[in-house]
Amino acid sequence: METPRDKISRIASKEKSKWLDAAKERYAKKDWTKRSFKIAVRILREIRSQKPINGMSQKRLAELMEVSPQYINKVVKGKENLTLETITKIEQILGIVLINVPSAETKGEITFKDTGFKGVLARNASKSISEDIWSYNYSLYSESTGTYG
Amino acid sequence: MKIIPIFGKNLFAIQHTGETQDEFAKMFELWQDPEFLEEFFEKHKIDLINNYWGDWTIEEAIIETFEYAQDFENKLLELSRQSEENQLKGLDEIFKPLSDTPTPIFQFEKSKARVNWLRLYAIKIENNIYVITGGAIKLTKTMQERHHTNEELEKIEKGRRYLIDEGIVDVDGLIEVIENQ
Repeated sequence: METPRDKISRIASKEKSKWLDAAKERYAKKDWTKRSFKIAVRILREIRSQKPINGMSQKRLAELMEVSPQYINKVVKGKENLTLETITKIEQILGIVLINVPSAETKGEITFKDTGFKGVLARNASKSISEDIWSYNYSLYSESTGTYG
Repeated sequence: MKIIPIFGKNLFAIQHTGETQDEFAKMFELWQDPEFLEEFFEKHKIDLINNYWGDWTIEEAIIETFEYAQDFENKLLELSRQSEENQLKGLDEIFKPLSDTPTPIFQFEKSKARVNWLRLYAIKIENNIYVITGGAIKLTKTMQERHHTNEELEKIEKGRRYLIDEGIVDVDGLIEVIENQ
């Protein structure tokens, strides 16, 4: 007797989902795309806030940068591996800071009793203070509340 | 409408006529698309202020969604490399029933996978076969409160009817399952 599993396998398309390949590609690029994503968000928010003031748009940004609108679209999709030259151009046109390189030295110092790692701690403190890309603690896969979708 | 295999023998998704990809692939692409998320949260910004999930700026909400989606996708990617047995266990852990009351066709549950406000909706066939019908960023307590989540309920129902029409769950099928238990 044909089971529901047999039936669904029979009617399912022979072609597989595009998800697996796309997910593998996203995974391979995940370290830099995390940054390009955040840069894209910053640009999109800035374009939105400037639009009523100076008519900024993706198209206008492309014109000012002398690149194609398709290129800007790739940038705001977080899919472009941006060069420092491009980042600087965007920063100048939109008047924003997209990358802030933290200094390795700081005037402040964290004192830690009985530790020989004072210098490292001070450096790390400086790094985390300067970090312009933030992170959150969050709990994944939260428990179902039962009744609601 | 057609059924697309995602990975293994237990995970499928619906692809609607005229769409270039199935609902599962589409959701993960959208949840990691800054342009889509920026427009979405701008449109739903009222739901980010002192609401069901607390207070969020639009930028925070976008980044949070992206990071959840990445983690969720990586978990599923890892699952796709596992043995069939582990895949079954993993899918059952991810998908929880949509409501406390089972649907009248009890083996054919509406299910959801949840990571914070991200939702994947699926129809469950037998014990461990899932057919993804869509997904959403659910910012309100109930699905009925917003157009985009309400639409997902309609998509679950359409998917369910499609599967019944295709003979996956018909009266005979239901009897088969009951007799086999």
